[in-house]
Amino acid sequence: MADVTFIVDGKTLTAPAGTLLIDACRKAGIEIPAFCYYPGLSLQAACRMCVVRQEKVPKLQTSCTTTVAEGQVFITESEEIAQARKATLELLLGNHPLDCPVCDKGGECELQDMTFKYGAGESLYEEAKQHREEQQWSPAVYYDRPRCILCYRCIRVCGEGMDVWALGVQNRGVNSVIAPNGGDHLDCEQCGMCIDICPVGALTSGSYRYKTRPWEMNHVATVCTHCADGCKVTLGVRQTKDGAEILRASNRDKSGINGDFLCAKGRFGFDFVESQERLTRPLARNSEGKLEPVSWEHALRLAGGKLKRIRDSKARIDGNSAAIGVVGSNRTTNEENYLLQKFARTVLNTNNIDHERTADYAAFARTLAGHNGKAASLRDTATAPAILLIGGNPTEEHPLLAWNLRTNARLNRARLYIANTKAIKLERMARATLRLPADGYPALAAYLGGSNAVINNACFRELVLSEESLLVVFGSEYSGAQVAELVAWGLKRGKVRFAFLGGYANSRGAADMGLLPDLLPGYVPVTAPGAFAEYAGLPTTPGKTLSEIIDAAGKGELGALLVVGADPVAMLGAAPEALKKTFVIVADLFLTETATLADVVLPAASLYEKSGTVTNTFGDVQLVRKAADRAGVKPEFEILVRLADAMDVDVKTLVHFGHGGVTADLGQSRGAQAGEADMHAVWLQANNLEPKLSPFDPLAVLDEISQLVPGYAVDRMNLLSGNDAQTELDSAQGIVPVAALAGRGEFMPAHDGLFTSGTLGQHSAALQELARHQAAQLVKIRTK
Amino acid sequence: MSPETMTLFSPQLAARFDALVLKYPLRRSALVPMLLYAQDEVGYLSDAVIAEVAARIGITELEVRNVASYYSMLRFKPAGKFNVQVCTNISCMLRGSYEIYERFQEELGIGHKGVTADGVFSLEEVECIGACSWAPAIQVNYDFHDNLTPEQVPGILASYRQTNAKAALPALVSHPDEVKIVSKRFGQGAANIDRYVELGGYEAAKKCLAQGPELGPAWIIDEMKTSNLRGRGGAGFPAGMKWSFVPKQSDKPKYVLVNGDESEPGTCKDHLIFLHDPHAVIEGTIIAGLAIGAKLGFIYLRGEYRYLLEIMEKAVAEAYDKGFLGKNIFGSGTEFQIITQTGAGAYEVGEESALMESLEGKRGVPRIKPPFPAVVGLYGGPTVINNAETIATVPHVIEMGGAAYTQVGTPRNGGTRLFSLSGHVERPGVYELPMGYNLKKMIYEVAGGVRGGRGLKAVIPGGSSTPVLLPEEIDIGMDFDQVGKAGSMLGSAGVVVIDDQTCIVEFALRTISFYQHESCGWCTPCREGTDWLKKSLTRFHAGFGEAKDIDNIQYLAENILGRTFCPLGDAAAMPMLGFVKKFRKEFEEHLNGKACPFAKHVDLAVV
Repeated sequence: MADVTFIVDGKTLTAPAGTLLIDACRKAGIEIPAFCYYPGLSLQAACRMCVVRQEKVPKLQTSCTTTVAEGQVFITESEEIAQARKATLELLLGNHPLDCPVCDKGGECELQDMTFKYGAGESLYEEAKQHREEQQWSPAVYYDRPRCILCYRCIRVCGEGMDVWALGVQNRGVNSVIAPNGGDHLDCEQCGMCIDICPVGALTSGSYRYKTRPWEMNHVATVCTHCADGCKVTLGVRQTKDGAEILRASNRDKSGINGDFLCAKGRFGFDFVESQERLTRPLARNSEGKLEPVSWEHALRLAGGKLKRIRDSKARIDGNSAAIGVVGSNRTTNEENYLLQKFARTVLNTNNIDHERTADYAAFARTLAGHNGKAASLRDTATAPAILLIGGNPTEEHPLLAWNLRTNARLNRARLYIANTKAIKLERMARATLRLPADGYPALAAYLGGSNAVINNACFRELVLSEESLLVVFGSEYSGAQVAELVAWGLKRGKVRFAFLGGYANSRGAADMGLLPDLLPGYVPVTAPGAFAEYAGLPTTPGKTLSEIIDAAGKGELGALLVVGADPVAMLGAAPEALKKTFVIVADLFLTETATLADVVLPAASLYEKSGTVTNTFGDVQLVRKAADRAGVKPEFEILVRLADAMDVDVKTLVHFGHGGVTADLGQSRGAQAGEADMHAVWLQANNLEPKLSPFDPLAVLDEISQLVPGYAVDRMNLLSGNDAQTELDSAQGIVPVAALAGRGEFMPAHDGLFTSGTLGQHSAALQELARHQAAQLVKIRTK
Repeated sequence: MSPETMTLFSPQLAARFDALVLKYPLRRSALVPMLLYAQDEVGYLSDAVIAEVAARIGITELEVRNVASYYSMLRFKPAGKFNVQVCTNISCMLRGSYEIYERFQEELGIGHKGVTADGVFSLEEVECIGACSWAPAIQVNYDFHDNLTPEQVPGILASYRQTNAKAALPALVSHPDEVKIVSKRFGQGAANIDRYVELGGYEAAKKCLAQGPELGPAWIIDEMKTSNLRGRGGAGFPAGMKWSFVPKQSDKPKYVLVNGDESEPGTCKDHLIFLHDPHAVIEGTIIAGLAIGAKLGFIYLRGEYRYLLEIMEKAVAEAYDKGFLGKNIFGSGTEFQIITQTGAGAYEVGEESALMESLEGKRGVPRIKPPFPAVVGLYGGPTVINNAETIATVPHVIEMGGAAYTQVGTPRNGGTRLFSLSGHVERPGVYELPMGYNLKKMIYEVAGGVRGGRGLKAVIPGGSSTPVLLPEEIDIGMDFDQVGKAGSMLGSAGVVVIDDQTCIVEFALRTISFYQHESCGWCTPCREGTDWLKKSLTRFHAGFGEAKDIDNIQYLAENILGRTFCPLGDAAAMPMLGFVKKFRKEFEEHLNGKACPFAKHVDLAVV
C-alpha cells in the first residue's frame, strides 16, 4: 500500500494507506485510549473511548475504524474529546459496582486508569445499579457481570484467537451478558486468555482470586516449564516466611515470542511449586533401609564419596566407566544439562548418559548440518505464507504453535496444509487436509516426491507443491532415517524450512547439550570430539542408552546411577528390584518412583526457582530467571557443583568462574590485551560477559557453551535483554552421517495435553482440577 | 437433517425446516424464522428445540442462544396458550392502553410475563406493534385487536376461551385533501394478483423491462432521481441516489432488501401497504432489482406482522405462478426471485445494517460503516435497502414518470407520503398527503382536531425519535427540509398528537423506556445512557427528583447525541433534549415530592 501523509495534533505523520488511525497514532507515540479495540482481533467500535475529531466531519469519529487517507487532519486531544471520553466513563461507571477495594484488577485496571486520566471521579449516578450474581464458569474462570463493560475482547479472543468460540453475548441492551457455551459453565480449553485480556475485573482467575494486590508482588520474566514451545511467562511472586511463592502467571505485558498468549499450563500450572509433596530436605537410606531426612552436607558427602569409590574401583573399557549411569532431564536448563554431561564425562568418566528422549533431535540436527537457514524459529510460524503440518496435534501439545498458525492463517491469509492420520482441530483453518493411512508417515517424503504407492492424493500434493516457499512442521512420528528422508526432500525442493517438535520445556536443550551416550553437546560424536577433546578423561566409545543403563542395573552390572529430574523406573516400567544392586542418587522435586528406590534423594529446584537458559523445540534460546524461592531446595546446577566438590574435584575445572573467564579463546576475538585482568574485565562487561564470581552461577557455563557448542554462539545482548536468540545448526564440525547412529536409543514422545505435563502436571492441583472439569464435559457430550 | 432422523417437530414443520435451510444463499439465514416457527409449535424455545435448531442450521447451541436471546418475541419459558400482548407505547398510552392493561391484569390475576395457573393465558406489556392509528391495540398471539376499551377486555378473553375469537382488520379513513398515489389501490382487494393487474399493476415493471438490459438500469435510476423520492423509513435519503451507489460490476451477487420492520412508535403505514397492496411491494422490488442488477430480493417483515407476512407470501406465490417472478420474469429472460422473511421482535433491526445482520441469522446489531450496504451488504454483496413504503411507491413513480411525481410535493421532497395520525385526535388514521402539507391543517382539518375539544399541548411530528413541537411550532409544511428547519425531523411521518391533560414527564419516560428496551446494547453511550435516563426519569416522575436531575438528564442526552454506533442513540437523546428544553417548567413541577397532576401510572413496569 502506498504511504499517505496526514496531520494529527499538528504533527505530520506518514503511514500506508488504509492503516487504522489508532494504530498509526500509537506507532507515532500518540496514545489513544480504547477498551474494545485490541490489535489482532476484529473491530468493534463499541466502547467509544477512542473518538477523535476529524476535520470537516460533523460527528466525532472512532479512530479504531478510521483508515488514514491523504490530507486528512485529526485532533486526538481537546476539551471536546476529553469530555466525550469522560462521559463514556461516567456512563460505564453508572452500573459498575464499587468493587475496587476487593477486585482482583484493582491497581492494574484499564477502567481505573482511564477514570483517573479523564477525571470522571464524581458520580452523578443515583439510581439502583443493575445486578447479577457472579458466576463460576470453570475452576479457572469466574465472571462478574456488574463489572463487565462489554468490550467483547473475551468473546473475540476465545473465538477468533483460540478458535474455541465458547463465549457469546446474550440478551439485549443493558441486560446484555457474556454467556458461556455450557449455559452456566465453560467447556473449553481453559487457556485463560479471556481472563488476561479483560480490561477490568469482570473475568477473574480461580487460582488467583483474592490472594493479593498486584503491587504486593514482584514480577519476574521467565520461561514456562511445560511444553516445548517455550512461552515467555511473567510470574507474580510474593514473599513468604521461607522464601517466595508464585501467585500468578500471565504474559499480559506481551513480551517474548508468545505475545500475550499463554495456555492453561503456562497460566495455571505453576502450583506444583508450592505442592505439599515437594521434597525440601535431602533423604538418605538408613540402616533399616528407610529413607530419612539428612543434612545436605551428609547427603553430598555420602553420594560423592560413593560415586568416587565406584568410579575408581570398577574396570573401564576405552576409558568408559561402564559401571556408572547418568540420566538427565527434559526440564533442567541448558547450563545444568551441559554441566551434567561434563560432570559425567570429565568427573565420572562415563558416556553412559541419556535422558527420556521425546524426539530424535540428533537426526534432525545432523540432517540440517551445513545447511544454513533451514531451521525455522517459532516466530517464523507466525509469518510464513505456507505451512505444512505433519502429524502431532499442536492445539493440545504445542498450544503456542497452534496459536501462531491460527493467527497467521487468520490475519495474514497463510495457507495451512495438514497431513495426519487423525483429525485435529487445526484442520478447521487448513486450506487442504490429507488423511494419512495408519502407516502413512514414513511414506510421506516419497509421496511429496511424486510417488502414489502408499498415499494416493494428487490434489493435496499439487496444492502443497504450488507454494513458492514452505515451512514444514513435523515431530515425534519421525526418527532416524525417516527424518533424513523428509528433510532431504525439502532441501532438494528448495525454499523449504523445517521445525521439529519435541516434548518438554528443554527437551531440545537436553539433546543440544549432549545428554546422549554417543553425542557431545552440539551433536559432536564422542568418537571425534573436536573442540571437546580438552575434556579430561573423556571416554572415546559411545555409552549405554537409557534402557541399556536400566538393563545393566537389573543385571547387577551398574554400580551407581545418578538421576536428575527424570523418572526412568516409571517411564520404562522397570521392576523395583532392577535397582537393588545399584547405588542410586536422585535429584528431583518430588518423590518419584525412581526416588523411592534411591539411596540418596536431593531436593531440587524447579525451573521457576532458578536462572539459566532453555531452548525450545525450534531452537530459540531464552533466559530463565529465578522467581520463586523456598528453603531447602537447590538448583541442579548447584547440586552438581557441590557433588563434584564432595568428590574432591577442583570445581574451577568444571565451572570457569572468577576473573579468568573462559580460557578457550586466547584473545583472537577479544583483542590483544586478553591476558590482562583489568582490561579483560572491561571487554567482558562490554559483551555482557561479566566476570562470574560464583561457581554456582549458571551463566558462567553459558560462556563456555557459547564458545564450544556448535550453534550456540547466540546473540548475547538479545538473550540477556529478555528476548529469544536463535541457535544455528550449521556446524560442520565432525558431523557423522546419520546412518551411522541409526537405531540406538528409544524415543518417548511426551504427548501431553492441555492439562498434563509429565510429573509436574501430576502435582499441580490446578491442572488436575481443570482436567476433571473438562473430562466431565466429555461425559456430558457422550451421554446426551 | 434428513427426515429419517429424530425430530421433535411435527412432520409438516420438520419438512418445512428441511426446505427452509436450502432457500437462502447462506444456511444460517434460516435461523430467526426457524426459531419463531419452532416456538409457534412447541410454545417456547426449550433446550431440545435449541439443540435441534442448532443441528439443522449447523452452528453451536451457544450461537443459537446468543441470537435467540436478542429478540423480544422469542422466549425460553412457556407462555400461555394465548399470549396477550398489550402495547403501552406512546400512541396507545395516549388512548388509554394502561387502563386496558390494568383490566387484563385484574381479569387474569397475573402481571407482566405472568401465566395463568391453567396455562391458557399469559400477559405482557409490549412495545409499539404498528397499530398506532387504531389505538389502543393489543395482540393475542398474532391476532390484532384495535380500538379497545377496558370494557371489551372480558369479552376478548371469553372469545379466546371459546375459540371463536376474530382478529380485527384496521379501518381505512379518507379525507378530500388526500392525493392517493401509493394508497390508490387500498381497500380494493389488490392483494389478489388478478385484481392488482386489473387495477394496472405490474405495468411499471414491464415498462422497465422494455427499456432493455443495457439501458434499463440507468433509465430507472434516472426516473427515481428525477422523482425526488426520499426514503420513507425515517432517514429520508434520496432513493435514486442510493441506487446509483451500487457498482456496475461485482464479484458477489447483488440484492434488494425491503425493510418491513416498521417499529417506530407512532407509525403504522407499512401495515396498510402489506395488507392492501402487497403486490406493489413486489413490483417495486423487481424494479429495484432491475435498476441495480440484482437477481434476488428479500422482503423482511417484523415478527409481529405475521398475518401480513402470510398475505405477502401468498402474493409472492401468485406472482411466481404467473411467471412474474422466477428465472424468466414476464418472459423477458431476466431472473428475479423473492424470499420473504420474518423478524422476531427488535426495533433496532429496522436499522439497515442491523436488518442485514438479522437476515443473515445473527443478533440485530448494526455494522461498522463504511463500507455502506450499496457496496458491501448482504452476504458481502452490494445491496439496496429501502423502506416498504418507498419500494411500494416505485411502481407509481415509474408509471406516472419521475417528473410528474416530483411535481406533487415540494422542491427536493417529491410526491406524497402516508402520514400516520395518532394520539389525541378525533379521526386517527393513515392519510396520504402531499409532501409539505401543513402540519396544523393536518391535525385540525384532516384528523379532526384535538379529541374531546381539549387543548393541544405538543406534537411529535415523525415518530418517537423526533423532537417534540410546541403548538406554536406546528405551522410548518411536513417535508424533510421544513421540519428539519423547525428543529425536528419528518422521520417516519408518525404524527402523535398530545393534549393538555397529558403529563409530558410521563410521556418522556415512556419514550425513553422504549429506547432502553430496544437498545441493542452494543455501544456504551446508548446501552448505559438509555438505562440511566429511564431510571432517572422513573424516580423523577414518582416525585423523588431534584433540580439537578433535570440538568443531569440534559447532560446525559447531550453526551449520547452523536456519540453512538448507530442513530438509535440520537433517537433516544434528541427527544429527551426537546422535552427538557421545551417543558422544563413541567419537569420542575414534579420536584419536591409533588404528585404529578396528570399521572395515572406512577410506577411503570419494566418492559
